[in-house]
Amino acid sequence: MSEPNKVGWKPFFSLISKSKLPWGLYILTFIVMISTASVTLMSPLILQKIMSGEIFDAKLVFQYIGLAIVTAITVSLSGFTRIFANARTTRNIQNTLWSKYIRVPLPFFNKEPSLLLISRLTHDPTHINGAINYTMSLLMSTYSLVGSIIIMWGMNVKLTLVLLPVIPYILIVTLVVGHFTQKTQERVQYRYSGMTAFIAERLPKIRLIRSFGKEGEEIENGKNVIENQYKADVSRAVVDLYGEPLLQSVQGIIMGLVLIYGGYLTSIGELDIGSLIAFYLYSANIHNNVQQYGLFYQVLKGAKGAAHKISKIVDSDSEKYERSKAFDEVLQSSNGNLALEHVSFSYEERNVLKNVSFTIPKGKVTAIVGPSGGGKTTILSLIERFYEPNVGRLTFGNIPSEQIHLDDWRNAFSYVSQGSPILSGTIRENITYGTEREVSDEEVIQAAKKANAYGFIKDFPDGFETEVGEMGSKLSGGQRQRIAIARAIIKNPKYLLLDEATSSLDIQTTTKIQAALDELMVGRTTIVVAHNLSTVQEANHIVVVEHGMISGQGKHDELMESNKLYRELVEIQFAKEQMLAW
Amino acid sequence: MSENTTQKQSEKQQNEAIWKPFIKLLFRAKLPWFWIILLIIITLGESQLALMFPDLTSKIAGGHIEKAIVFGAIGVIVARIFISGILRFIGKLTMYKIDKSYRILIWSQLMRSPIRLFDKVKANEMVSRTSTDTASLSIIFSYVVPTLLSMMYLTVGTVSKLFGYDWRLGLAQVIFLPIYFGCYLWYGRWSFRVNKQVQSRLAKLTQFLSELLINIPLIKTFVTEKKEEKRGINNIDQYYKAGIKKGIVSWIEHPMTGIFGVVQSALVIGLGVLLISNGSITVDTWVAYFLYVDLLYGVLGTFGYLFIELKQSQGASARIAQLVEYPEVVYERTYPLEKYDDDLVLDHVSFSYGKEKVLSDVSFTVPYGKVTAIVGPSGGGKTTILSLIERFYEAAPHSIRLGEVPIEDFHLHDWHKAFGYVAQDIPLLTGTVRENLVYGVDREVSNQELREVAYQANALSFIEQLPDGFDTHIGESGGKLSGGQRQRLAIARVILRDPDVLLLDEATSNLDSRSEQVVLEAMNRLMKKNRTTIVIAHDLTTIRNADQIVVLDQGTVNGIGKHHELLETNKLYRKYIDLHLGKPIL
Ligand SMILES: Nc1ncnc2c1ncn2[C@@H]1O[C@H](COP(=O)(O)OP(=O)(O)OP(=O)(O)O)[C@@H](O)[C@H]1O
Ligand SMILES: Nc1ncnc2c1ncn2[C@@H]1O[C@H](COP(=O)(O)OP(=O)(O)OP(=O)(O)O)[C@@H](O)[C@H]1O
Ligand SMILES: [Mg+2]
Ligand SMILES: [Mg+2]
Repeated sequence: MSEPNKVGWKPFFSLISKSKLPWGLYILTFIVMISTASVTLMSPLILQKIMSGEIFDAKLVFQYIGLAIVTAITVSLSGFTRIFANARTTRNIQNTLWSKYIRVPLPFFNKEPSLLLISRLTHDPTHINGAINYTMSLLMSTYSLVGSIIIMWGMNVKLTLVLLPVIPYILIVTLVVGHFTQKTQERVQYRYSGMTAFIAERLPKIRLIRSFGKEGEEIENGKNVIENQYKADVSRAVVDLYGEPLLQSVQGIIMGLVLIYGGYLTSIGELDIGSLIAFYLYSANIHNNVQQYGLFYQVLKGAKGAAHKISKIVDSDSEKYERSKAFDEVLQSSNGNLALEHVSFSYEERNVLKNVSFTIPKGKVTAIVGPSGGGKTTILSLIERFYEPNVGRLTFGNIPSEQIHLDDWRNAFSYVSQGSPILSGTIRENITYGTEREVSDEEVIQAAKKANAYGFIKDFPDGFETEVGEMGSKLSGGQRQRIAIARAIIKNPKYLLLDEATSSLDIQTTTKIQAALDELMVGRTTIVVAHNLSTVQEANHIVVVEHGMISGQGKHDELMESNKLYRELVEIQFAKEQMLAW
Repeated sequence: MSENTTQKQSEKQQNEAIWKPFIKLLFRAKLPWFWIILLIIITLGESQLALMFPDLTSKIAGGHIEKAIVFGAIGVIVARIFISGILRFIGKLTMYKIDKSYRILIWSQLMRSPIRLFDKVKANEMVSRTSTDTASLSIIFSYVVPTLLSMMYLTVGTVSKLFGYDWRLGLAQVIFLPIYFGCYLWYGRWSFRVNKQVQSRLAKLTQFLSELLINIPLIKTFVTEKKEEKRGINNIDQYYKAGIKKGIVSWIEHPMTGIFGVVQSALVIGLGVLLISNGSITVDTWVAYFLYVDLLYGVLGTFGYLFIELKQSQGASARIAQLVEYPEVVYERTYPLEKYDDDLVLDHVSFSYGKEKVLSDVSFTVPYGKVTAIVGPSGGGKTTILSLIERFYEAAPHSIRLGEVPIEDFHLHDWHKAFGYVAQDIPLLTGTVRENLVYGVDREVSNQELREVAYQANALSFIEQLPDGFDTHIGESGGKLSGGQRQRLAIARVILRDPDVLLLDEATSNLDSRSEQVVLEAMNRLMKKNRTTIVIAHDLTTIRNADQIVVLDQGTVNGIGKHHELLETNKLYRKYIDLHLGKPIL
């Protein structure tokens, strides 16, 4: 977590202008706040009179109580409007962020740890709020400060002049203290998020920790992390230990000056006691208000940082869904083949795909095979348009894919990915995840049957309403995979992408699903990635990917002739299987 | 998506937990008693100083600007500034010390809690219990208790001072105070409920975000951006609404305080008019009265807040208690496991995660030094058997034995030490390749050795191609590696560990046949050295040579034997082989 120290104000203002803030509410709040300040400015004058014994003056007493009531009302009112203003600002920024998260291209997530993204949404917007509120308070402070000084000036010039030099002192003290406060505060936050990240990373892997007998070590690690957090907290408290008395000392100095010098002035008759008391009450305003200036800087700095981080996300490009052509249009007016043309691609620096070219004919089954880590999943990611090729292009019916609406595109594909990710929720919710229309129970059952999942689902006490746990943790590996397949089947896609879709399944289940898929694949363009070559040998077209390059393509028989790697893989598998024979 | 029922349950649990678990929990962690007592003493001292102040100011206000009084007032101010600074420091220090002890307590406890607890409580929730809930507990000792004590002290002090001035002044406060406390108690209770709602909304939002953010590719694949956007906005909106509600409730404090303030002023002035006019008190006394009342309510103003804190920490402690009081895994058992050198017997093992039985009456023996394979349909309970052998869950006592000794009688640490487990879902740590490889061993590992095991797992070539070799960061949970690469790392990790017993759950499912062959050869070498091995595999070719194959179907043993025996005796197995051979690849 590196702090962006040298960021300008542009992100802050651009974020504010973009997030549709409830300005009306803020202005209303501000007006009410100013009236509170005005009323508060008047009250010492009256209080002074009451205190100096004019308690029997009914008019004065009613004035005093009246003022108390008005203050109570205005304070309540500004508090009330502020609730809505703040909550709306936070919500608007959060909504903007979330809509963005959902739409930024995938490479974005390769760089940002998900925990950070969460705190960006839940925590950072409050900084922006803080800055706006603080600006308002500051304006109000200025108003009361100037007001107080004018009134005090009117009461006694000498005493006021004596107090003025205190103002720069207050400023310096708050700035210095604020500086250290912020420094240590940053460290506290850094440690805190470190601690949460540490815990959040370990807990889901508790089985790994157990089976490797690492509890002791992890407890020690945890203790260290917690200890570090504690140390950061303590150093923050030490700053306060010195800082707070310094800040408070200002109050002492002001009171001392007023009482000593004011007392002297009273004794030589330049000031009456009543004014001295009023003076004393006003002088408290100086302290409170000037302090605001010193703290303002810290608040703004925090807001600037937060705005910068939020803006970086909000301003990054979303995936553009709207392009010039509809998928169906292109499909009808062309051959409907997908093709990679001289595609090179890298996630980071290293090239993962190098000059890859091949065609996926419409309505046929294309298989991608090759050693692990060769780039098969990466090819599917490119076909899904998660990433864009660095060099070369992906075409559909000879039209560059960038010209085709992205949502259309992805809707036309169903992708069963290698990890079979499952969301928490019920089985039914997971199966119907990708469908926009209402799905009948019958349809869900059919899809489950095709994926050979109906059998186990029906055995669960809650059937389709069974909760699968976080990331599907309450299901077995193969059960997860079958639900992922059912989820793809129910979409009835034109193009089907299967990445090791049956790797966690036994042969019997695989065979059954295969039969269902074969049926499904008829006339449907299918791209299969599989290590088990017997599942792909009948494919119309097989592409062999090795080290990010295409080392051969063709039908099974052709590749057996021409491709050394393919032949080797097949022979190994054949030899294995022969050993099973009886 | 639908956590209503569980939430209601936990709410109920929290409400049931009144004071007992709270107090019990308070004393579970090592508390810094010295600091707590010091804190209380200083707080009371500070209150005493505060009590002296109105006396002095009232004199000044009354026009007694004498040196002694002025310097007395300044002295008191300076002393209060210093003491309150120190006080706050000690308060924070105490708080952080308590935070630390609770966090360590929870963390150590979690690391030793049964896996069932992790099935029950979501990981995210556990995180917030360790980080936020502890803070609401520590505030009790470091702030709430001392402040409440000082409030009591001040209230008694002020009221007795007032009685000293005039009994009517004292009585007015004695009547007024209970009303004041009552209102704030009621308010605090209400406010607590609303706060809880906000917190649970925030927790939901975080939970939602954390799940979706790691599944972004899934969202893109199924083009559910709109739906998820709506769900997210909905979540944000509920948080917003709860926030507004909380805002309004805490706003009510303004008018409430305002009304009390006005009533109080009216009371003070009214009494003043009455008592001064009939000569019972002087104006000076009245000013002092005024200042005392001001001081008292200034301090009492936080009473509502304190009460909310107290209620909150009660809720937090109930949640923490659920974790900490969960029966801990007992590591120390009867016997050490000096050498794993006997057969492992599963004797009529039955098991269920919830209501339905996942394993029923499973019996077989895992012979020492031999390879046992478990095969069968998906969802049949294979992984569950490994979990029981690893003692993640406990089967019925005596149902699993090593030789004659029930496995639950061995020290758990020794037991885990004997095993090397490659799990089906390939858990990797966020970190470097090296960190992941050495995770399973307690000693220093040389580079040479690392390269050696990586080579055996057929992982060396790809690791060397990574930008920083063994020191490459592999992303969150290994997200930057391909499926097969992750699997090879997991295997290398176990090879390095060199365990007595190998547990392999679909360890090569994501490997192409060539890589698989290399890995299997390395495995075979490993298995040779009198190593007991249990393999789960769907690809029967990889387990054909096993010394014993167990066919598991729907939680029951369907057949046991060697490959050729099962071919003769077991229908399911034969069917599997037929299916494998059905489509000869050449
Ligand atoms: N998000 C990522 N960031 C950086 N590198 C990545 C990322 N995903 C994959 N890689 C790298 O790209 C290469 C190709 O990975 P890919 O997942 O396409 O392989 P694969 O052919 O599908 O392998 P497997 O059969 O093991 O699944 C690998 O070397 C991998 O380390
Ligand atoms: N943590 C859990 N909580 C509740 N039920 C579970 C849990 N883990 C597994 N199950 C259920 O127990 C049954 C057996 O699961 P198990 O993982 O042992 O199957 P498996 O034989 O390993 O299957 P696969 O070959 O698909 O991995 C399944 O029905 C599964 O849904
Ligand atoms: Mg892959
Ligand atoms: Mg399993």
